[in-house]
Amino acid sequence: MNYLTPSSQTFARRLATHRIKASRLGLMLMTIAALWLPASGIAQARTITLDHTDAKYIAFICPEVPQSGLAGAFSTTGVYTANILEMVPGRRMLMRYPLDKIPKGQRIVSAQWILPVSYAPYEGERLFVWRMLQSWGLGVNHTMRTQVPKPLPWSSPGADAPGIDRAITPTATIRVSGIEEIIVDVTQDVELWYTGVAPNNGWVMALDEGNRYVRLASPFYTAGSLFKLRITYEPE
Amino acid sequence: MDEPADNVTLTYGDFVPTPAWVKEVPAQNLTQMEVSDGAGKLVFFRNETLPQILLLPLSATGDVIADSKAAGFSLPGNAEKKIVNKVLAVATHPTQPVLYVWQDTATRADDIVIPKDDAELAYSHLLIYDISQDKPKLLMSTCSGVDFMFSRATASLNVGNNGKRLFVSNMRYKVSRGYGVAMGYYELNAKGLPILTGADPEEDPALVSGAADAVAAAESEADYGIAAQDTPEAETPAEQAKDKVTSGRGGGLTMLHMGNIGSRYQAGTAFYIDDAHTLMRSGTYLATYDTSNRSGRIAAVLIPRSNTRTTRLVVHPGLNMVYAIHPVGITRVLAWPIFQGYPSMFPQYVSIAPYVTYGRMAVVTKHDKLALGSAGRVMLLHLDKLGRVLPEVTQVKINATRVHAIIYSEKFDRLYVGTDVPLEVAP
Repeated sequence: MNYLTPSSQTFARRLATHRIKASRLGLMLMTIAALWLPASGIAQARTITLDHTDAKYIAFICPEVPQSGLAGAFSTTGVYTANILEMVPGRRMLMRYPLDKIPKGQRIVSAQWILPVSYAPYEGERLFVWRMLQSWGLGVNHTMRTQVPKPLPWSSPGADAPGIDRAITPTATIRVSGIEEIIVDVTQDVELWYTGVAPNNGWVMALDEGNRYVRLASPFYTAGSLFKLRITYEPE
Repeated sequence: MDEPADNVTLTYGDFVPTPAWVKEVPAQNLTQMEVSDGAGKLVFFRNETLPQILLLPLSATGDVIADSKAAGFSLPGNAEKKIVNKVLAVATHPTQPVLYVWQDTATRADDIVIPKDDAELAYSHLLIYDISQDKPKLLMSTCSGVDFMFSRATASLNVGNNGKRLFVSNMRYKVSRGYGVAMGYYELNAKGLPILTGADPEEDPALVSGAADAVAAAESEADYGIAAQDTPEAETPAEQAKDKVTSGRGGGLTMLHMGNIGSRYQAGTAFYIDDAHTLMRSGTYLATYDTSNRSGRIAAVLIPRSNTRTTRLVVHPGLNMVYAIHPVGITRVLAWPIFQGYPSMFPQYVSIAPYVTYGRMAVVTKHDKLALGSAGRVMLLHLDKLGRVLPEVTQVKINATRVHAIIYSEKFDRLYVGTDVPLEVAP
């Protein structure tokens, strides 16, 4: 049964056969909405995307090179580099983004951390992301969380003490299934930091013990925007 | 790698009057300058014109003496006005009147790294001079044999501020397929001479006063065929020293294998951090060589937008910061925090646009500045207590189209800057 009037049928047919026109229609409606919504006082969400260039600190730490904060991968006998970030058990990646680009008086709607997996030969490897509880900074390595203004050690080497160095419960547990950009929901953490409920000490990422490895692109080698942090907020 | 946070873009004001501690030095066409605090002299080298090494005496306060002329000398092989040997690098001891010279022959087109015959095997790359007097005195020549690459285009020599070690480049070691690249270092004694045998020459004066001189003289003459000389008698200290010097390791020379970060095409540079840690540049890498870590002796990170031919480093004497420049057309300086010899996280990017740098940098420790040579000027970048670069910059006008030669003496608190005025050389 056809409930459409002939004129409606014509309109529907045109929509179906002329998608360009349909997209124009969508664009027109969005433009109207964009003009109307602010005037109407209804809250408007905005999205910003930060990446590794906005990160205040980034570090790769591992027990094999305990004094280095840039030991991202084993290269060859006795040589470690930061050209790639090879997550193996024991190695940690630390990253912290300042949130000062979000204006005051906003509500965090969503936050996604996008991890650039560049090689994952083993199906189902498990990555953990934890919110950091301890502050860390210049001179960070496997044993020290900062060396400015004075050396301060981790409670457990590798930022490993649950409830002291890092949160007990992971922000996310990720199953890696191939070369992909993994989107991690970090809304709650960003909200905690933005509202000041918890200090922004960033995240630590680690591979599950017993797994083999997952490789991520390193900003020390790969050009472009990496480790994006996409945050959507709206006025409270 | 893209830009990190903490970038700095310099804002320039007008030229300021030349500070009393900035000293212009006649140095037309002389791009390489060192200062010997121990001898109170500036040292230049060149290869296009003889003499190859020029020594300009300074006053007791470290100032350039008006109308003074430089004393010059050439390497032993050039005694007959034939440029056989090139000076690839020089270094001075921080307190002793000792000059270290790295020499090599003309670059061979095939870029081969292996000495091809006995003459090349016997060739000594490192010459050590006492420059306290008007006429330099050759104290020692070493670094010969199979552990050294031959006919290189570049080399580096570096003595840390404490004068404990002399780092040399252009070493090689055998691997399963071909050769790997290495750097090496000598422990230095109080007089600035390499401890060749593991024993301190201070405790074995023959190594310094007699044997070393004999070895040096013998080698320099034998190497270059300048004059016939007596063969040292067997079993003398000189003979023993010579055996060790010409042996594969050059006697007392510790080799730092650079693994897959070693560059065959550009000599590495090494800086003393402490007895266990050496910071080095090799190719495009900034690496930490940690002899206390057997499983991970090298931690390397790419120098952002590096170029193997042009990246130059200087380490802050406080050892907490390394600065890198690309002196060919790049308007950027990198400042990288160092902790126990390891670079930490991203470097600070400092845009010096619209200017570019030429030649070298110098850390002016007593005034917390980083000095860069540029077009007709020296730029003095202001540093904070950690050695990070602040947005302020002071510009000093220099009588040079391009400022290449630049060096700072902490003892004299003088920043020497080469100008386009010719340096007169005494006949």
